[in-house]
Amino acid sequence: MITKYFTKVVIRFNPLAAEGKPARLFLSAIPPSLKGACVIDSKVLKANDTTEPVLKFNTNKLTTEDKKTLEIDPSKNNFGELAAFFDRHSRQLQVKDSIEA
Amino acid sequence: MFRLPSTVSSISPIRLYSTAAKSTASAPTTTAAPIPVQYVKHADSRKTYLINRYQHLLKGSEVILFVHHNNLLKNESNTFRNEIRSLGGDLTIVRNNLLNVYFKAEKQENPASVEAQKKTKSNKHPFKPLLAGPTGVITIKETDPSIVAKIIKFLNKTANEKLFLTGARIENKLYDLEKINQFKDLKTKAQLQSELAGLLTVLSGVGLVQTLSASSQYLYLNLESHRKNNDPSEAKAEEEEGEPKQE
Repeated sequence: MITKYFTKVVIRFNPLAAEGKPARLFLSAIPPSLKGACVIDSKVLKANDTTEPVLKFNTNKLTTEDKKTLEIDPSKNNFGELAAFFDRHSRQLQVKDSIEA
Repeated sequence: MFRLPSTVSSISPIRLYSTAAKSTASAPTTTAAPIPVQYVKHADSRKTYLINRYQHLLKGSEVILFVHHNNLLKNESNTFRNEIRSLGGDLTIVRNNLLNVYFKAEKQENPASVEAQKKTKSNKHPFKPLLAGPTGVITIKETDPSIVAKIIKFLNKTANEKLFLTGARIENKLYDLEKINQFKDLKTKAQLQSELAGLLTVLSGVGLVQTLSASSQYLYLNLESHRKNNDPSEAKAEEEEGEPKQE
């Protein structure tokens, strides 16, 4: 998964439910080197919380014109699918970067 | 698979025993020698060692807190470990699949042995959902809610994103976050027991003894009346045997 372009991650999940595994794998996939550049806002839900499990990103390119928020429900996707979903956008930024450089 | 070098000097007495036992297995068995444990993996392997270690670790602790850890640096990991140890817990990073194997075979004497695995392969346990992603366990020897409260406070305050609680096992039961929050505000088990004992001694005159002994008294009276009914003829007794309480 390309994590370079993440600037903010919002994650809400219940560890005992279906979304627990993909959400936790996702959290662990964000390298410590990104900790300064990317804000991680994670919250563990309880069984009777009404908040939907959510995984949200602001991807933000260096030139700031490319601000975009992506959102996906981790309870219906496995980690591979989550990564593919976010990579689709990150790859565009990567290509743009390589052309401009 | 990781194996220790098999030089004699580096083998612990336990390992020596298991390898020594293996060589005697083919020889005619003497009744005095204990039967060697046959492990699924090699007796010197890391997997066998870890399962045995989890057994040692978790059998002696009544409270186990499951935590998620996020790419801890070495110094962070050390500070967390030291801090948690000073609060009365012990942080261990675990391998999910091996802990899963251990939980399935928990009631067996040797969870890593061939025999235990054969029996428990299809067992289920409630802690499976917690064993996904990077997992650690904080083990606490006694059921003491105050230690749990202190550790949770530390996790929320200092460690927040890097190490957070996902669930717990308290006296063999699965606790989710809400239940853990309720649990940490309780008094210790000893305090609660002494309170209950105090309450019983105060109330013992007020019908408690009577209530407790009532059921046995009723049983005695029922059986007694049944016996009286049955005494005249034994043929009648067989008919009414199934319903002694209705009389």
